Amino acid sequence: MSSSGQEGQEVEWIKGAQGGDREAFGLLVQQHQRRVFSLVFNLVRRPNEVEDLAQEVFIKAYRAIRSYNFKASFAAWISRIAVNHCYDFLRRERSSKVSYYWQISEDAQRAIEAHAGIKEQESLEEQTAARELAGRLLERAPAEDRVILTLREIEGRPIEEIAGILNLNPSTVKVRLHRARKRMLEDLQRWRKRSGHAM
Amino acid sequence: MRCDQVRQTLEESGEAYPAPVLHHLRHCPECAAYEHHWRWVRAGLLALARETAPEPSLGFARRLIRRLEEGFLPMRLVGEFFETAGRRVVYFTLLLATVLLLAIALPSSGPLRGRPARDVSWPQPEIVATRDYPIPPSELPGAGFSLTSESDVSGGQK
Repeated sequence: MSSSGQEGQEVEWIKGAQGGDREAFGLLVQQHQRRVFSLVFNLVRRPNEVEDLAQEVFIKAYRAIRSYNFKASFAAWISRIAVNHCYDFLRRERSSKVSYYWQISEDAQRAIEAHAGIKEQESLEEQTAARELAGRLLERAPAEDRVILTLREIEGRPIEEIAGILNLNPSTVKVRLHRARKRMLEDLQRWRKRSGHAM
Repeated sequence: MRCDQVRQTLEESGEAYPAPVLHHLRHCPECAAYEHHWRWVRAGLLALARETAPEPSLGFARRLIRRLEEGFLPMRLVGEFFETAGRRVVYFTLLLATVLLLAIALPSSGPLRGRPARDVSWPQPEIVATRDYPIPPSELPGAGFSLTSESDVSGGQK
């Protein structure tokens, strides 16, 4: 099936869902479920929570589908719902969690210290260490930093698309990205100074 | 180039940096350290990007539709609804309390309540008598009594 044919069919499904046809919405879910699962997983990084969160995203989308006006693609629209839902989830989770490296448990600190002495990623083990460190830095970052860094660095989305999802100007996205990266590296450096590690 | 510009450029330009950035990095140890750390963290982020997300379980869409037909709402969404509704109730109550406090605290007159009767009264005769220009004798109270002559009055007006 051609791309325009797929788009035409998607428009029919959307119009059907807007008219209350749940079967048509089911076809939309099938079309976009992988994308939503991947986005939710990258934002939250908890495999056990992904299915529940994705289900909530689709329920929210179903309840709001009449407000979809075809200006942006349906994929971008549902991505925005997923990002907002995950952002709320992360913010709620974060309010009950530790925020700074000096508040992390001893075990977690030891895990990071075990990986942070590496100078360059040469072997698979070192790559794993870099991945774990990046994961931990991302986990400790504020929810808004985490969302924007995930969309850009992990999902690899263009600035314009991120701007569309977050409802921001592209220049604002660039500034926020720079600040988020800077804060992440500052967090890393503070930890290094405290633990006396060199990378 | 300024350090901040260099850092922003190297964050956006992948592995191949432009010549001015490379030149700056050779002369600025702080930016060189920043670049080193960023390269390290970015490699970690790229490794995270290679992790595969869990697949939707078999029949995910069908189950979802069945739940929508049953009117099922996950607990987290119910909680979110009450959180939003609760926040609105709190905001409305605060607004109402502010309006009531203002209604009690504001004086019974003033720009918000309209002008009091004493502010719209006409000027009194004594005030008219204190005008700073000469008053013609005909306007003064009391017949046949004059403070100044006619010539003085006309001279003063010139």
